[in-house]
Amino acid sequence: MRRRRQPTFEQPSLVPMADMLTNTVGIMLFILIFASLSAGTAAVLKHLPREKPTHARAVWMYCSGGKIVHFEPDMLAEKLVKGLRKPSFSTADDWAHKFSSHTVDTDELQVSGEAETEYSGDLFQQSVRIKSAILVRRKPSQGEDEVAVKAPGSAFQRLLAEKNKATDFFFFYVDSDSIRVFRAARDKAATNGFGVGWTPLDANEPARIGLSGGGKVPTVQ
Amino acid sequence: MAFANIQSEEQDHFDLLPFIGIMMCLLGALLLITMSMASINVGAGASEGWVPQPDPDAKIPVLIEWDGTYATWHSESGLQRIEENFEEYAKFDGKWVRFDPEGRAYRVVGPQPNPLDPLVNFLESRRQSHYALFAVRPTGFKNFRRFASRFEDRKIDIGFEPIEKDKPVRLIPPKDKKK
Repeated sequence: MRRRRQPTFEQPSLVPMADMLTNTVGIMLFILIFASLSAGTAAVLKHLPREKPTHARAVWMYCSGGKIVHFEPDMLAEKLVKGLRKPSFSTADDWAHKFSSHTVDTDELQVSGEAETEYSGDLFQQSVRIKSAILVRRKPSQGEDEVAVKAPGSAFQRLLAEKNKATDFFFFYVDSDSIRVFRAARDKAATNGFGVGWTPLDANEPARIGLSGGGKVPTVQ
Repeated sequence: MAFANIQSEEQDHFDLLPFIGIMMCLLGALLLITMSMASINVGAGASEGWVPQPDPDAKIPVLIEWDGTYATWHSESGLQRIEENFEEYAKFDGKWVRFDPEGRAYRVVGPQPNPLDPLVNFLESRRQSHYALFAVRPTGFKNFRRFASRFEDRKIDIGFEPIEKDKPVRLIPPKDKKK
């Protein structure tokens, strides 16, 4: 029996195609490397900050743990002193002690008081000054993160809509772990025409707002 | 010999096309991973170059990085890394007092030179036209205000911006416009 001869199949060589593909990939690689290197030194045109005093009213924000919350020190201070009698020379120490031991909880915040007395003058004409402050901390899982801040209808964006850019400015207390959320909120406020300022805090440090004057006045940058 | 040629013509060809396809897919995936990693590490976002926006009232910024221990001064002659020792001197009733980093006071004959003096003096002598622009690293948040007070006490204007831990930053001066 003679085997039936199969028809001859001449397969085209794939070497030129592989060569072409490899060349294309190599060229793309070079283009991407140069693009990446040139983008690495990309300049960011930005308003460089410089502290300036302002007469505008501060809208207080606290950024910690990658989240941001708004607070109103006057309202919180009122809650803290509620139930405390007005201090006098003789009751100053007691008042300061009670104020320091008070805490107030809101939905988002935990607020405590801090007060100390300073006596001055001579034996016959002494005066006392109470230095007080409120310490504001964010409750765990409360506040808005970077994504939420950018989202329309977020609490931060509603706050922006409520405030007046002619009379208000935003002041941020920023923990070292919350740079991104601060930048997102700050940029949003600046884009809406508000003045902005900020001060850095150590990790887990509360925002401390003095109630008795003195101290550093919040500024815009 | 004739028999061998017939065998060669009749031999089935092994199709390499699927294997080349797989190889190209693999190559593409590797390329994507490599380029993504390269882009993250050396590409856009790996560093920041700040260009001031045009502002007629703007002072000239002098960039200083602050990491909690060292101030890195971006001077015209290059980068200068200076350690902050948080020692301060003040004069009370004509006598000098040194405050150590913990705030304890010691009476001394006179102030000793500080490593930051060249920077502070440079800015103080140009405070009408220059200001200190601090790039504050997360590690520098805790004591930044204390560090900045060294400049504020000398009536030098300051500004500050947070920057990630290892992200390089530089100031790009706006190009001079020819009149």
